[in-house]
Amino acid sequence: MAVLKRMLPTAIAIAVGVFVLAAVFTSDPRLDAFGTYLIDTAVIIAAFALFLGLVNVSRVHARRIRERGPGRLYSFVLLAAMLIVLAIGLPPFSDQPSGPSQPAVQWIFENIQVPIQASLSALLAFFVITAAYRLLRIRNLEAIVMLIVTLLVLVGQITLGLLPVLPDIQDWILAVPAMAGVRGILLGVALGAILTGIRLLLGVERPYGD
Amino acid sequence: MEEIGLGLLLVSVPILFFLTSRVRAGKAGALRSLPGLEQLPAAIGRSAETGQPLHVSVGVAGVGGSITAETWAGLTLLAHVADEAAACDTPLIVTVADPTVLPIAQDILRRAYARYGNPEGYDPTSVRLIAPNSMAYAAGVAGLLEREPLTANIMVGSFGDEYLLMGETGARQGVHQVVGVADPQTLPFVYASADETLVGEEMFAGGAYTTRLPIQIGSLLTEDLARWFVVLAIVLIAILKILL
Repeated sequence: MAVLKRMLPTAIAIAVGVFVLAAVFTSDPRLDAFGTYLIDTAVIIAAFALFLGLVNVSRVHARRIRERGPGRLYSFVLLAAMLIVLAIGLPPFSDQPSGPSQPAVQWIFENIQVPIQASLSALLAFFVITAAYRLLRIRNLEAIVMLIVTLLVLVGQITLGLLPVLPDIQDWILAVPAMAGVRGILLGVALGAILTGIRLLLGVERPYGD
Repeated sequence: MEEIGLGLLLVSVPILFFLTSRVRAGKAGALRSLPGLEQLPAAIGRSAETGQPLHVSVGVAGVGGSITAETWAGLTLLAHVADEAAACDTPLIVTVADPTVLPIAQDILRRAYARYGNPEGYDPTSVRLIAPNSMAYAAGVAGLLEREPLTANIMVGSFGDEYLLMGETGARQGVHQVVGVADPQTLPFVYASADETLVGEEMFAGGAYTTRLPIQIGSLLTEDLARWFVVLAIVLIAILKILL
């Protein structure tokens, strides 16, 4: 029984993976339909994870409030906001819209969530400056090379016409060494992802099981 | 493109088994040095000594999308960190952005504590869903990095520009940071703020370095071999294009 309990999830995971992969690489309509069915099933199961998330958020923040931990006021605001949005989103009458299409929920989204997210995105500009400062303080060869390249690219953007060669240098840096580096990284990532997929299909990589 | 993908897949499997058999026979060379992964036991040790928690993030993506492999790389590393944390009774805080990762991360921690004979040590709230939105997740993690006295911040998975909010906060707090990302646009930010970086494919090597299983090492060697093949193909095609 213990062996079955250990092996069954892995066997199901491998079988589903093989079927979906076969559906991608073949044009058989039955296999294609079965692959689509398996993906749809996974989407439905994944939707249930949202409920688990809701329970997790409630538990973590309720505990912080109960234990009077640091930031408990934020936890209270978070739980209150969650419950208010949930209550508003639930349909009071069957003929009224519910969920994200509910006008009050849309108002909250457009007037509270979107401005806060925009503010956070705007903060990134300042974080970029502090990150650049931190990077340039590092005294090694890589930092010096990065400083020179950054200055060349920045000056190349300025179209004052003082040094017409600078935009050409900037274009060359972006098109040749920078692009080569990016492609190298992306190729490595693609190979790593393929091998991870193979390990998953073979049941080697399974942090979900013993 | 599908044919190329299928070809790569079919060619990789026998090479993987061949190289795994060589590893089992002790004929494979040593793994190249990856300081980011080699520093992990020291970070876990420091956490055990001080009693301050470690923070692990597996990125802002979930499982089931096109970048599942990156999330999986983070989960593989989490499995190792959870084992070490359970063995040393080190407090661990895991944050996730996608609800699909939540039960997997909880299960990893629960099993790790059970394996080391301490199932009561597992606290389900040590895995926290912060927010499904990447910017909101980053703000939540930045708050955690400021509030909690952490010894290390391990972040391996899919991250975009929002990484800066977390990485810079961690650097300002003086937390030892080990970060692995695959997105080339995020890498400069990681390089600026993290103590140890896992660049691109290095983040997928976590399993080989932490478990030392022959098939994991064989997989890493297959990846290296495939990369050399791609480099050779690019050079050959370039030469042919110049000559013809």
